[in-house]
Amino acid sequence: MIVPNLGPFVVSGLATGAVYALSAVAIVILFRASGVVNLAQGAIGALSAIIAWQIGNSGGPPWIGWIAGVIAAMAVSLAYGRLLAPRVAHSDPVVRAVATLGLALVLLGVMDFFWGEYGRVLRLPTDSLGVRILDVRVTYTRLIALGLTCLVTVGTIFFLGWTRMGLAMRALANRRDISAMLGVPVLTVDSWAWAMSGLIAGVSGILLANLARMQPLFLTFMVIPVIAAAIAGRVQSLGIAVAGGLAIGVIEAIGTPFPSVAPYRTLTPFVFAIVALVFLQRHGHPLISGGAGLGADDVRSGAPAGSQHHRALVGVAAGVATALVVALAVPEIASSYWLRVLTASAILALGSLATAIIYAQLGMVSLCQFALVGVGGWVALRSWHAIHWPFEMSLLCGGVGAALLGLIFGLPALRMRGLYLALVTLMIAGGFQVVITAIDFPDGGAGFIGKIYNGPRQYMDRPGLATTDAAYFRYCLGALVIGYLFVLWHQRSRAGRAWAMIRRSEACALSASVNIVAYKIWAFALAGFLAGICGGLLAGLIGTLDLTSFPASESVLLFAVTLIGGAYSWLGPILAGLLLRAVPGLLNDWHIDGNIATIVFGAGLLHALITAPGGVAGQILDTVGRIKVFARQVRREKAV
Amino acid sequence: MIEIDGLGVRFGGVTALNALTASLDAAVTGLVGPNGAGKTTLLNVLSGFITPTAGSVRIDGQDIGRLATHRRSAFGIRRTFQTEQVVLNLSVRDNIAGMLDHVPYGTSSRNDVINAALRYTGLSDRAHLMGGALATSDRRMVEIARCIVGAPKIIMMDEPGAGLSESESDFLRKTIVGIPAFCGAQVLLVDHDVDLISSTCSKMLVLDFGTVIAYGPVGPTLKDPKVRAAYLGETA
Repeated sequence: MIVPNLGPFVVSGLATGAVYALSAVAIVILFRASGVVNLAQGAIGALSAIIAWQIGNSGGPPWIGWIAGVIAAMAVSLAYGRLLAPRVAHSDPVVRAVATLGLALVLLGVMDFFWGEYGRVLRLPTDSLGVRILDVRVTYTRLIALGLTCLVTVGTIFFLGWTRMGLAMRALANRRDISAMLGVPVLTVDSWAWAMSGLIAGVSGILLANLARMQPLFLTFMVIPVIAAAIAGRVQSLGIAVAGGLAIGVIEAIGTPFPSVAPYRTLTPFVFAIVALVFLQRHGHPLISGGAGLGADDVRSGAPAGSQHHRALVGVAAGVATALVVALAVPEIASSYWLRVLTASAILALGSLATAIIYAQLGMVSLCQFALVGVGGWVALRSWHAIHWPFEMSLLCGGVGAALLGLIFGLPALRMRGLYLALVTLMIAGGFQVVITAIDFPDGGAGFIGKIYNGPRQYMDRPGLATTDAAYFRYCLGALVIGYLFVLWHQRSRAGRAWAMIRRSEACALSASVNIVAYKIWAFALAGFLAGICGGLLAGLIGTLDLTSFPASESVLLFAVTLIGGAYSWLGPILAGLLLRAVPGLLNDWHIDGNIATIVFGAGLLHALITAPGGVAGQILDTVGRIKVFARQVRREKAV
Repeated sequence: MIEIDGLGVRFGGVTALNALTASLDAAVTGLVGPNGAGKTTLLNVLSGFITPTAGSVRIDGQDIGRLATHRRSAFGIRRTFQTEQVVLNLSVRDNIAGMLDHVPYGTSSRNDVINAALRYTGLSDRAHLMGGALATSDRRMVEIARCIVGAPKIIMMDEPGAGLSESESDFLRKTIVGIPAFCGAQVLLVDHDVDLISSTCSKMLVLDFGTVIAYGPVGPTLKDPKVRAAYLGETA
């Protein structure tokens, strides 16, 4: 085997790695000062890059574009840190991190709305100038990236270690309340940290857009390798974060000349982060604790008295009756377009239900549920093409396949919770995206592997009793009802009680002889199964699936709408399904750009985390409750 | 019968329990000592939350060292927590049922077992309420109700009297005293309230710096000069 000259790849990797490292420094600074892992860092960088591009492209002096971009990044970061971050400052670390996903979605929606989703090229004057190092031509841009990283890292170490503001930041990170009592100006220090991290995000966004690709979605999710680098240093150590960033960049790049490895090289950060997390967890460094009891203050906790059993039966009867009415009425009144939209909504409600199980029952955040939807769909499709058996068998196969993978995805949860788990599942979602792109998922040919090179795609048949759109809508609604009953049955059985105890605290569960490992595995497998069924039904809707449908961003979106809909209530997943498909459909009907939906979802996620933990469903059910109480009062007064 | 033999626990350089040896046979034993004496550490060792660095504990003749943490409750080691751990989004009845899901409870029906525990702790009329809707004293009672179902061997209570009013404390006292007769379990009570200890316990074990400084009937032990010095801050 001829070993290719790796020099150019190492140099190129070092430059990209330097930008990862630079961003990782920003993540560490912010986490050390305010305890927030900023998942919106990539989106803030993307905003900076696109503003720079816009000004340069409209004929303005490029340097004004760069400065404007960086100032915009600082402003957005500072505004979030000043206005919204304090509202969740006392929540669990995972809530603080997930809230920044809301900001990321808003920014992504805004960028897609104004600039569209397609990629652009951001040129810097330093691209054409360069020097030769080790026989490789290195552009000044790459040298600047490397130099800046060194400068910022050293500067930050000095700043945190030697200045009053740095001391205040370290104090705040250690104990927020006590530092405030000792006179540390919390808001000022926070603002500094957010502004600094925004500044670095802005600069690294422009560099990354130049070195890699300038596309908002791509740059937004570039936060994943950056987080991976920061995690290696426990989001504390600047040195390890920088080394991690450089290592990820170089490993990614030197895979390029090897054809068998090249498609998988972007897996590097995910594997890196997962290994780092597992290692840190195993070696007794509880990095970011918390997470237990997340959402324990759910809307049902103060539920009024009443015979629970009776109420549950009435609820189930009412739910089934409503589903029957919807199943009969909707196909009669909806257009064929809307029938498809509502079918997709019903299917995705099942996916949201799967996400809600882990969040509401166990108090854990899993950001890879949509990947499991993809797995379920793929297994269902491929098993149908391979065996040509009834649709239901494929569906079950998809469910079981996703359940098994869900169980594997859930393994980190046995040792981790809170922010750790959320980050590791985000890495899994990102890694999944790379793998399915590399293996051409799910190909449309015949047989189980179904490779297709030339010729038309093959489609899966719908179930015999639901070949028409109307019948398939009813079929999916039926599946949703069964899914709900399945979850309800779990909730009211020993599994539900055990999950509730685990969510209260592991000490509580252990003191009741609950086998925590078994019940966590069971929850992840159940959620995987439902996500798999959701994927199988999606595959049945069109007869095939598209590999672009399962990026990490979809998993984040599914989680966001699940929280917006209301993870604790039966109504929540239905609302989430409608939000995911019916709202964009409605915008389409009204000729409004669908990217508005992403902005709304981002804002909705922030709203749900800050003021409405029960989501829209919680608010609706609270209002209904208040109306009931009011009606009862009126009736009583009339009687008097 | 709880037999503790040479029990040691170290956290880095700190010795939390130092060759602790005691044989507890009273129906209700008080476990007292100043802050940091090792009371909660001892409870955590018995619960399996902390693995001791030395020594062993036998309960009713069985060494519990090899018993997995999540099997101890089923074996009969129960506890309440300093910060109560009632599940807020389960009803009182389901809080107890959650325990019965994993511990053996003999031949009587599940409902009978739960109802008896509810009656004993005075929670019958609140059985349908969610844990989150309960007052502190009721939450303490839910924790006790969870402990007394099935076949408990020992019930450990970590400061159950904290934050209770006079009348609630009276009820707590009666409840604790009656536990051995109700379910046959031995009670180990940690509390700073000397009144609560002296009115419920027949014997007390006094710890200081992780070792036993006195053990015996409550009255004489309280008068022990060493105990007064360590615990009540008087010079011996």
